[in-house]
Amino acid sequence: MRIPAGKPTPAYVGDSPGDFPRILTGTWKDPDAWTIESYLKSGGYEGLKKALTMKPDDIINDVKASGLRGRGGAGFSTGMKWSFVPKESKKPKYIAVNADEGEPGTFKDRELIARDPNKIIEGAIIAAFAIGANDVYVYCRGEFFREAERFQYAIDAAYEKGFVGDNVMGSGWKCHVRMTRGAGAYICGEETAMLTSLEGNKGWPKLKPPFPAVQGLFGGPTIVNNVETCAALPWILVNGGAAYAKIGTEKSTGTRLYGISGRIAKPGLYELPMGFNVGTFIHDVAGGVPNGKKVKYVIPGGSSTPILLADEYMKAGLDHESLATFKSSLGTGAVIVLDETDCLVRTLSVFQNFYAHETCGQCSPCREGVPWVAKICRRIEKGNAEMEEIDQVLRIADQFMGKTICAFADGAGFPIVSYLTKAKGEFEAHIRNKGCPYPAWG
Amino acid sequence: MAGGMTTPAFNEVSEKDFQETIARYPVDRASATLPVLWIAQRQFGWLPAEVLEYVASRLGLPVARVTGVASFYTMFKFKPTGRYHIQICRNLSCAMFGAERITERICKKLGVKIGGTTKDNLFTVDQVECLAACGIAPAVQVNEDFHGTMKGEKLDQLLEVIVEEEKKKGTRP
Amino acid sequence: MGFDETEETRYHARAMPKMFIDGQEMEFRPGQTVLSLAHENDVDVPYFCYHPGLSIAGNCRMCLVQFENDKGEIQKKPDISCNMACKPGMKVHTQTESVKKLQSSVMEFLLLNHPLDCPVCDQAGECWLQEYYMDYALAPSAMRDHKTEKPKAVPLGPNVMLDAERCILCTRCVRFCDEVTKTSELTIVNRGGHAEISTFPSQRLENLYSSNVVDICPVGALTHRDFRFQQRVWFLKETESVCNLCSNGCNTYVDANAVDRQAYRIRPRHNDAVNAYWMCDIGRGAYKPVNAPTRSQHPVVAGAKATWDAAAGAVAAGLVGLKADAIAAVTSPYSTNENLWAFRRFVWDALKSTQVAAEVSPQAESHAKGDDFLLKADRTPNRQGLDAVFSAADSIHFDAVREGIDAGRIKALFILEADIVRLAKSPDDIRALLAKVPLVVYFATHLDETAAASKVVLPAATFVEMDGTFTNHAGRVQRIKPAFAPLYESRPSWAIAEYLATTLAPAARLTWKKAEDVFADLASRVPAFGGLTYARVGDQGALLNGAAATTQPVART
Repeated sequence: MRIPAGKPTPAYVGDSPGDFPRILTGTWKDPDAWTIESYLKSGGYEGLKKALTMKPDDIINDVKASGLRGRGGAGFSTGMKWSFVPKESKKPKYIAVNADEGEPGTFKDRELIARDPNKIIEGAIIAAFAIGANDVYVYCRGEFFREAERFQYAIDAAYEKGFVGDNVMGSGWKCHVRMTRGAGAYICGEETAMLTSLEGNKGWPKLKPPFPAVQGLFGGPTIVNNVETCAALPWILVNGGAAYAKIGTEKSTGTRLYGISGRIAKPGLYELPMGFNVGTFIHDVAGGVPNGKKVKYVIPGGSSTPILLADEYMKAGLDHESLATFKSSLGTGAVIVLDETDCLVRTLSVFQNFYAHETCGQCSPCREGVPWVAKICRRIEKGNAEMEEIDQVLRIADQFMGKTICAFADGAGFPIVSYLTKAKGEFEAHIRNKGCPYPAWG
Repeated sequence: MAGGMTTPAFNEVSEKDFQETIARYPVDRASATLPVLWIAQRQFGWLPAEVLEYVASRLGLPVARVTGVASFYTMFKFKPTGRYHIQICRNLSCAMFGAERITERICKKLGVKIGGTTKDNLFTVDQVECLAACGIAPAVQVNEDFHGTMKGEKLDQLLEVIVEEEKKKGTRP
Repeated sequence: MGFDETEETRYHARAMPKMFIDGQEMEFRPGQTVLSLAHENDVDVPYFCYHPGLSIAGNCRMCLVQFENDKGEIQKKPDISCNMACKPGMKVHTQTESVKKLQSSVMEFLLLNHPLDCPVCDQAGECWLQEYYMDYALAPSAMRDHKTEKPKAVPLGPNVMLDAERCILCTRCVRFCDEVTKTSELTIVNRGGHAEISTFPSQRLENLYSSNVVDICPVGALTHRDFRFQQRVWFLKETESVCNLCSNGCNTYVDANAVDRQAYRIRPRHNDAVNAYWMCDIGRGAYKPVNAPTRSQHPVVAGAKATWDAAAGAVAAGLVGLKADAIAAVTSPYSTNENLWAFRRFVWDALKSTQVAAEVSPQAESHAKGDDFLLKADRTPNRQGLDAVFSAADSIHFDAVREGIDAGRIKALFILEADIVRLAKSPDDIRALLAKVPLVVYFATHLDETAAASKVVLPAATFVEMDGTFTNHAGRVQRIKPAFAPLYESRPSWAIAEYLATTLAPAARLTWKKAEDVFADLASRVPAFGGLTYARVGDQGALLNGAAATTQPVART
């Protein structure tokens, strides 16, 4: 078993108020929490032990009852997703762990992998047992060199301790875990693109139908679960789905490892129950906006989520339902705070450059439309555009959203629709002034 | 063969890793493509045509397919880069804290454009997308290591440290 | 995989399930896609990346249509019809305003970075972007930024030229090389807006079927190097034909300028029983001899140009006083059934000779090989026809002809469309043999070696200039049609036979007005062809009596 020598560069993990179980970060005060010894001492692999005594259907029902929703950005009910896997299958079933974190603003999975790789592996094994799979593939982002070493360590440790292998904890059930590293492609965070990458191809998303739960990796039923989703499973197994459902809100249960960055005094990660108020998070938990500035815009869940305005964010909760009422979404729970010195047009331009760089190019609306929109945004930022190009950008986004093989184009389009609807004035000002009225960054 | 390279082959370390790797993908050897490309790049530094052919032959796959796959991913290199690949994140949180200014300054200091390599082959400077380190923006990745809060002159200082270490190793005059 | 169903499943479906497209109820086959059903029922749904002979890619998004949900509401979010399996009761809408808007927006995206190459692009006139632009877009470009630049005029191999800027990345060519030829020379490199088709740098696209990617490329990204800049397609007329360069008999289209009477191109024609959607690169060149300067243009007697009448007179003169056993003939598997049959009737019934050798012998050793796909080792188009028309009972071995010539008995030799000098193992031997025969009459398409050794050369039409049939290796009789009237003074060989017969032996009453008459005559007398007519042969061919139907789909093993 290789003990990784290198240390990952840690993010700041802050304290959060409130009396709720620290499902994800509870052990993190201990710098050795990532070691198998420490993990076992703090109750590690009890979840798997419990799972092996249950019927897979009961596990699925319990996870359904927990209300756990995918933590990768889509927020689909985990238990329901598992239940789509057919009981009988000619081809083997798979669990694929999505550790290809790449949504701008998001840095929670990196930390989970660095500090608690064993918990993620345990969760993945539980998921495999629940759906009747014997193989787990972990897809770790290529840039995460040190983190991947810790993942491999956790896998090796699991083999050593008999938590994976040909006879898991003497149950007779077989489960193998393998890790593949990506190589720099945000699109590989999309479920089916991740699977095609695992199969040794370009990260091109697959056509749906068929859906991965029915026909995924190597043609077999596959469930893709995010790292943070897996990390919640051991606690749910040990404490029961009902206990998990008590935390958070009615439809968005449990805790999340929220990230916050941008104009904030204490940027970093905070575990909080779902539904925690955005304003409280920014001002009370994360130290507020420094330098006496005020919040102007809040991006609640990563680059693909619509913004909250200054008069909205105080009323919004960090859950799926509340943000939907503000025409936004929770995404990856990665909050980015912009103050009055930040240019929203430049922000959109940065994001569109990102999408233009990352589009896989498989289907025509995204391949052509996303870089086009980025070109126009760059010109608007410099003030080198016509007024009607604002509506043109909206038209183009409308033309590629919902028309593509995967939701990447939708992700690229959401900020466009949001910023150009809620803050059109910013864009008009750039064009009218033939330049950016805001100071340069940094 | 271009570049004066004889037929490439995995060295002992790479071969061992290769055998372990393909054993992990029993369903379809093609699914070992990315891991094997990583092994090759680690040994050869980048992926010239001969190495792609070699990887394809070891995997039993058409070389055009392997080339298409490798070219899709930004971390696979198709030209040699400096010994230290400086990758500055340009996405939002890092941009807000001056990624563009930092990039400009470093490029000017090293005398390269974005994507370029210094004449002594020590540094290549690139801009990359979100490194998932937004809490410690601005973030910079140098080879496999990753540095946060590289505000102001911090990156300059890091480069100086590297140059010092290289001098000690005798790899740089 | 998205391949269209075989004839088998068509017959097996009994109670056919139904669904609705644009309010019209239609029966569908299990497993059929909405796009396939739409096309079968003449519903207009455009597409680029779909191809019935390849897997589903679903990347062009041009076939997006709208579906109704269970409540009967048309859903705003469209879906592609090429990947949607028909379900009983499904309701699809293809002509709504919303779908029209989708089609024009996909066109906008595809044309966004597309270079305005039409004036210099071979595809003009048969380009799907042009066609669909007229039907679904008709909007000026709204892009003010520079178009993406990519490599242009890149030879991928001996046959195929790539222009990466024109490419819409439908991946038909990549899928073809992966799935049909299984050679995988093509890939897509880079990603996003910089993605482009490529080969591995030191590898060329040179498999035997490489030219098919030109046919399936809907735009001018992949063009044929032989056809490049040769002719605008709107001057070309397509004619159904069959390849004459091996016994597979791939169905083809000959594209010719009917005004200039010049053939420019051959493309494969779909036939599930013979060649699916494909043909090999060898057959692509089959049009080249048609307009070659070496064509036999007019009758030649003793090396001098002559009229048809004078030539017939020379033949008559050479036959004076000859008994039947002094006359012999040689044919070959290169001729159509009609030419073979008319020739046989001419020799047997007009000249009263039964000394017909099916082929020259011994022939030069052929090193030609077949492959595991379409190409056959037998590089002749009508051996089965030859065997049926000149069965062992009806023909003699060429050795008997040689003996007869050497013995001085044979004084007249008629040769049908076979360059026997070149085909023979020893050309000198055949030349010497011919020199001993006072009257050698050669029905010749080209002024070849055998023409040089013949007393009378009668210009014969090529397979591109006449009606006729070839019989492929599996006994399938397939029609060829004329792209234009025979060049110069040439005539189809069956017509030459008819002309000579009426001139030299009118009592034999061999009169046929057209090739179909010859075929009818053949079918009435040769059991293998019994019951066949041009109508029955149709455009997909019909089997000889006694030939076994194939059940395997055409694919590389």
